Amino acid sequence: MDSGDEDDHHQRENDGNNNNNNDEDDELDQQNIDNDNDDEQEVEEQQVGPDGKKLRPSQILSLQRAKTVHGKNPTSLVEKIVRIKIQSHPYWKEKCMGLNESTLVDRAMSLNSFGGTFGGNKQPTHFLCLMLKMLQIQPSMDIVVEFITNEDFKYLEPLYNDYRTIRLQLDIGYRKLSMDEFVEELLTTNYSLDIALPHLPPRSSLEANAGLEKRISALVELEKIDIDDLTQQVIDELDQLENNNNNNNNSNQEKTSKPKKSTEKSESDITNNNSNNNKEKSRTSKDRMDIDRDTRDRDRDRDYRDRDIDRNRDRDRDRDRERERDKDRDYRDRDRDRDYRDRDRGRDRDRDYRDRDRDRDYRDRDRDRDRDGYRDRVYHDRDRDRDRDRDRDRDRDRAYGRDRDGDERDSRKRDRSPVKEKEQILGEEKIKKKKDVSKYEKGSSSLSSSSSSSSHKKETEGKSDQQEIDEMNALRAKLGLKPLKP
Amino acid sequence: MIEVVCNDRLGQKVRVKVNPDDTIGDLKKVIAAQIGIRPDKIRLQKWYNVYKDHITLEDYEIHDGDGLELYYN
Repeated sequence: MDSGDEDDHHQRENDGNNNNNNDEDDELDQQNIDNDNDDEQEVEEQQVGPDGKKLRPSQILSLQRAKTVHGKNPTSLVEKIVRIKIQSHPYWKEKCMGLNESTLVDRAMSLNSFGGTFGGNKQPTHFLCLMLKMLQIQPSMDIVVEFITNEDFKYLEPLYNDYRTIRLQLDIGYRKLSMDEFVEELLTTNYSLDIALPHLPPRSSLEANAGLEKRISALVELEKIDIDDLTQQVIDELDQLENNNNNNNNSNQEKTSKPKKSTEKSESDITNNNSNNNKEKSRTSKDRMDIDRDTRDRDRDRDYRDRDIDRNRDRDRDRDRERERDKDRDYRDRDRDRDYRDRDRGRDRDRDYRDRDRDRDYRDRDRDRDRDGYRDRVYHDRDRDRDRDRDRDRDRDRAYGRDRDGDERDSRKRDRSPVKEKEQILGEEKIKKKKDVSKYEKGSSSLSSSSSSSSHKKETEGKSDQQEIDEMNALRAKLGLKPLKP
Repeated sequence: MIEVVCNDRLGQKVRVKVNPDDTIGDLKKVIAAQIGIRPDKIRLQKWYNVYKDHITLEDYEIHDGDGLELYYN
């Protein structure tokens, strides 16, 4: 692992190092203060805060490191979520404590890959841990200068001439690319390895304004290639591609989407052809590995689901629903009785409530009784007031459970007579308030237009469905995805 | 076309229409465009099952109206 690329990160941060003290910084660990090798004078200065007050020892410790670069703490270049992940990673805790500049370089030498975050839970690579460490210990300027001028450690553009391969750790597996590719990415993009890089003005504008010299490729210097020849070659290639494109529009789209204009770029392309081949190869093998793992995953899922489902319970519920109708009538009678009693007690408010939700209450009580016998009804009568809240909660839970059941019904196509199915839909329609309505609009539009006031439906009323789909399709086209199927 | 609901329980809840044969990566792109965040900073999961980018919704048996948990990283 070349430690040069580490250098370039930290060079960016140290460019305009103005050694300000940052009072608010409290994000640094206490442990890495141990390897503090700042000169004494700086510490002396910090003993007294900006307002002249004496500082507590802990504050002094945190201030020792508190240098800002470009007006902010360099560790904040790493996003907070990634930073927290790094700092809770075992490698950080075990291997990054008590590192100083030289031991950090040793650690970096022993890395076997680099990258941002990887895996399903996006754990940070060791490379990223070391990088954050370097941002924390903030090597002093002369060390940085030493690194940069050292022949062994190169800084950014010289790395264009470094074609050693490096391993980029991806979510799954690795990718092989060469140093110059990575440096190109660092120089031109503003986001790499899960880190938002500070903006770097493009070379062309620096050449125009800051009097930077034009970069000449090493290949030109070595007289391996002639720039004029190369430009002609590239133009020819482009022409050829265009011709091909006219013949068959589909095939060559990817290549022409980013036409190579600058000779420099094409140079690097030519040299990188080799590594591209490797990339392809490794990717295919990786894919195969993935497929294996996926099938295993799916198997596990299925087992899990089978265990989960209690068929008997479902059948019971069906029978309940048939019985439910008969019972509703009974309940109405009984309920009238209860109304009288209520009025005696003068609870008008409660009655209103029950009127509104009578349907739901019936069903609840029905189901409750089936399960718990008569105890439940007695309970109801005794302290109905308190019970109601809880009842509502339970009802919501049950609706959720039903929701899931409904989906499973779809997927597993249990055989059921159409009449019953319709009943089921009716029942669901009443209970489910959150469920997507469009599903039912297909089969039975009268059902969905009934009393159920779903919040979801309200949302879609403002924006018509078709309009929404059109918007989504426009977005998908922009992202390069196929349009939605009806 | 199905519709899935993605909820990080911090105030962001998006409903997106997708095809069942879209991959999770595609879904992430659409979500990212809607809430203004990079697709690779999104993690979709259900309980401890982190959904992988290259697998389709069909294969994960994600149906119309299903909810996914949305996390950031």
